[in-house]
Amino acid sequence: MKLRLDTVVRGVEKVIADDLAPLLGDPFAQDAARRAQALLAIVRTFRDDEVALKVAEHDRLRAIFADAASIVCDDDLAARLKQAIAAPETALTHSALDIETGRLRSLLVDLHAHAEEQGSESAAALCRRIWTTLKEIEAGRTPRA
Amino acid sequence: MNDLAQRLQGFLIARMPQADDLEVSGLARISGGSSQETYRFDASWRENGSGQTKALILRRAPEAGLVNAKHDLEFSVYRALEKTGIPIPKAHFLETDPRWLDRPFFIMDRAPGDPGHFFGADDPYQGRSDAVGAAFWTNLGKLASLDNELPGLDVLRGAQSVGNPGAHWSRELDRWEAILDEGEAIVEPIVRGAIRWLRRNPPPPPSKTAIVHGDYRSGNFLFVPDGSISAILDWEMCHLGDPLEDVAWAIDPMWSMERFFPLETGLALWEQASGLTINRDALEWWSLFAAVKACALWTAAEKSFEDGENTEMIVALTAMRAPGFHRKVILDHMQRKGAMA
Repeated sequence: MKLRLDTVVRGVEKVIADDLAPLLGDPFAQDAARRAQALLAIVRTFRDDEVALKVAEHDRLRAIFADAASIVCDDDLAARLKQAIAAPETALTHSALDIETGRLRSLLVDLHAHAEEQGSESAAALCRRIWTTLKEIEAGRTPRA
Repeated sequence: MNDLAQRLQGFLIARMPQADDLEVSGLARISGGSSQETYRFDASWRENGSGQTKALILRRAPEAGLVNAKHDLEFSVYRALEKTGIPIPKAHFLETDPRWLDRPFFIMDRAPGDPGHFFGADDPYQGRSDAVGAAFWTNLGKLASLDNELPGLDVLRGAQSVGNPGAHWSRELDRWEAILDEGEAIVEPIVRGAIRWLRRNPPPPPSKTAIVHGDYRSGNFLFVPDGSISAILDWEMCHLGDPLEDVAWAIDPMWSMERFFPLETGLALWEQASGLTINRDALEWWSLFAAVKACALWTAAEKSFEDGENTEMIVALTAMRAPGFHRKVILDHMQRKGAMA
């Protein structure tokens, strides 16, 4: 049987709660131990689906970029959108995904601000779609512990 | 006696030459006020032949805080508000020379009472929420009613624009956006979208420039068994500005007093004590601003832990859990404004 990371971290949480915290006489140290235990629980549950969440967010943002061409009247922004749509995920490490998340979100911020400055109904519709998408992405990001 | 207690005792002996046989005892770190290290201790001494004992608090500048304030700002505010009727502890000594305790610190009275933490499931006010809530709103109203040019307040942010109340919202928004710019490793489009909305839809100017606590909420005051508030604490983010900034912060969903005291009754008490009228559109603007400001604070917490400048569990826990809460608060605001499909 393989020892899973989840089980190891859960074991550390239990040691902190059952074996270490009761021995601490200082209330400030007891608080720190309780919070350390809570942090481990958050990290344990979040790590399981973090990569999937990041990849799904990238797909959602690229889909917005693909549909935004008609309202973009800035050549530089249009070129950046085109490049982002064409770029596939190159690696699934957290560090590589974080770099791509940063790039795509920065582009989304620029696109959103650009759309807000347009007066057209299609630009307004894009703004509404961006906000709705952000809400849906956010719902998946909540730590489960 | 540990090293910190010995050094603290040495400081007090030097600053209190009239005190004989001065001793520090019971020094212990306590939770709360995470932008400063906070310790409780007792000092006892003999003076003019009689024994004296004082319950005190040491507030020491952190190696890195959530948002580093000027170390002497909180002390200056305590001194400025000393005779205004606002319940605050008496501040005694401010020391900036690192030879005493490595970092700047000040010492103030330890007020009696309980902080009533907002994150507990039980009644934090032990059945006294009617009295605590009334005192909470009345004290905030009194703060808004004070003269904004009290001696000592000229060190506060906003002091240069007292005569231009229309400038407060943009100065504060600029400040928190700059903190986001500095701390965000990966940009949050929700927060940036809210900032753009706030800039496109500025609030009406306040009828007066007021002393703004900056972090007025459940958990940042002490209450005593009769339900009165014995001390309002944690003034590190105090500045001059729009008094509705504090009102909006106080009703933020994370720590809102509304859970324990009717909101409209509280706002009426605030209006009565301040002599001001709440403009509901402005309050809505400041409520969204409060969520943006909270996100900026949590971003600073994330950065300080990520950089290794701060190793406190409360900072890491806040950085992990609080940003998502306030992004959802922003999304709720934007949905009410019709921003979504």
